[in-house]
Amino acid sequence: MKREEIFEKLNEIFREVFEDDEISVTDTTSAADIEDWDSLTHITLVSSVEEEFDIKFSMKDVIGMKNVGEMVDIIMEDK
Amino acid sequence: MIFTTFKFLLFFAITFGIYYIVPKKVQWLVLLVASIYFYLCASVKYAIFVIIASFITYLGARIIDKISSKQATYLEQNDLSKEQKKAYKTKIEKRKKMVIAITILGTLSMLLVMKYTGFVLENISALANVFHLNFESSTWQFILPLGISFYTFMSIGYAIDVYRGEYPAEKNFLKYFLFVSYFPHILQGPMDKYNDLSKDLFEGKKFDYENAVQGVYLIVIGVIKKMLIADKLAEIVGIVITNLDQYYGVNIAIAIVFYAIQLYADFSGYMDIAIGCSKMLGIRIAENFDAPYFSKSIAEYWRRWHISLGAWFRDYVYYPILRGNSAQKIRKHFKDKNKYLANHLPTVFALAILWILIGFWHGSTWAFILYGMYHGSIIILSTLLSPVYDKFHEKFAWFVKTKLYGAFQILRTFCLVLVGYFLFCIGDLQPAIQMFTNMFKQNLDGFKIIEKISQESIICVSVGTILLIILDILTICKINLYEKFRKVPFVLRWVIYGSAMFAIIMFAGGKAQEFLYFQF
Repeated sequence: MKREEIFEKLNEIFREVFEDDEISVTDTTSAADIEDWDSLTHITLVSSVEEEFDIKFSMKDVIGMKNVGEMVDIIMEDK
Repeated sequence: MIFTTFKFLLFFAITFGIYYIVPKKVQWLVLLVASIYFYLCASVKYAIFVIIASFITYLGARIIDKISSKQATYLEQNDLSKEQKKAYKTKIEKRKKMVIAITILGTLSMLLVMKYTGFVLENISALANVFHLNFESSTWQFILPLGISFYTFMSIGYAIDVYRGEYPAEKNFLKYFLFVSYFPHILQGPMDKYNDLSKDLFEGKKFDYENAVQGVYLIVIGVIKKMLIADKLAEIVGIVITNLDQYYGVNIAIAIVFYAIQLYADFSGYMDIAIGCSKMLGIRIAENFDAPYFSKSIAEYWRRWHISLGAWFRDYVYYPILRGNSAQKIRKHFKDKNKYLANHLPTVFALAILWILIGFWHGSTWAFILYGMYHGSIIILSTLLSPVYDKFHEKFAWFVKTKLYGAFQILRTFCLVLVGYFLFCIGDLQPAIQMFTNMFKQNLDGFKIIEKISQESIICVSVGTILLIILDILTICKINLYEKFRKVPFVLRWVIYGSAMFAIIMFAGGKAQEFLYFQF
């Protein structure tokens, strides 16, 4: 799967989880850029990404990923 | 050894001096000896618990590390199919899970026995009384070892991090023991993570003038908060708490506001001194406060108040519950039926457990459990009502963006926090209820509480609180006061430091009071 394709799918997930159709994520997008992205929504986001890509993040990844770029790296590693 | 005593000042001056005289390689040993001495001064009898907690988690982490490296070597040396690899990994994972479970239980059992035995037996006794059975529990009370809630959680956090593969286990027990017993954080936190601290602790530091001056600045701020605000307010709040049948109405309201200021000045003052001392040694420990009383919601308040505790519970309790089978089952069950429930129910489930535990962490009484449940309920409610809030914010966007609405949110959150403090400040349910209901009873004594305060205390508390508010406003505006202060000419800067210390000695007076969070 190409990086662009992953971003396309991630955009859909982000828009659904944060209920904001204008969200467009990049490598550097982090919790600081999206108002509702806090510890409460983080796991919902992670679970949605896992379901979409049929992968399982380790707890180290869940806590450690600092931006969307790192999330994409982990997804690509698994694919 | 209380931070605001001459004894501590002397202890720190000697540690600081020796630390920068000895070669870099052995600097951590100086800190180790100083930390052991510091803890022994506080509590000789219970030092054994620090050693046991450190040893169990050290051993657990080392075993997990060994299993992981054996696993890596085995996978590297054997050409296995995908299925074989998966089966092998599952087998190893089970082994690691067992080790981490034993490690956590072993470490936690000391805290549970020392902190909660009395509570459990008391409740069994109360239950036995209902059924007219004879059960005496009064002899089962233990004295809580100082800092046990902090170092137990820090060491468990370390073992879990190694289990998760965040970093390798520390091989040298003494180095690990320094991390657990490091004197600025052992008694009251912050709950540092091992990998955030280890580099600074062990690499050796050269004296840095900037760090030293910034450290002094933080210590001065911390001492002002503790001695000029917290200790003075403690006297007034103490009078009200111990004479609840004499204070009503507005006097109770004032007392609870005073308690809010006292607790914040006390705890954040301690942190400033701890961070300041550590900074002087070139070691950065975690921040614990970020202007919490300027939060616009309770969830935000907990991201700004006792930050390291919140982060600990998030990483080691909240996330694992949400990622666990039960929460995932709830989510999957509702996924195609109701998106709102699928997203919110697992969160509510995890939050409910989390907040009962946070309440229980603070103390072994029903008042503390209710305190946790109170904050948890507000957060759960605001999570469930988030679609309503979103609609309101959308409809009244023009108003929501105004400063007035922001001020209303801050005031609303502060009032909610104050209500919680009725449970927190006494830590006992019956007097907490009495104090709360007294607030709504007719008050015939005017501002009786104010009359109890000496003029000197009024000046100290007023000046100190104004300073506290200014500091927090600057934090919110992301203005670094220290950076501004650095631009003040050198001589004038040190005259200000000197005057501040002189004012503290002149006005603070009295006996150095213990810090409030020691009791946890």
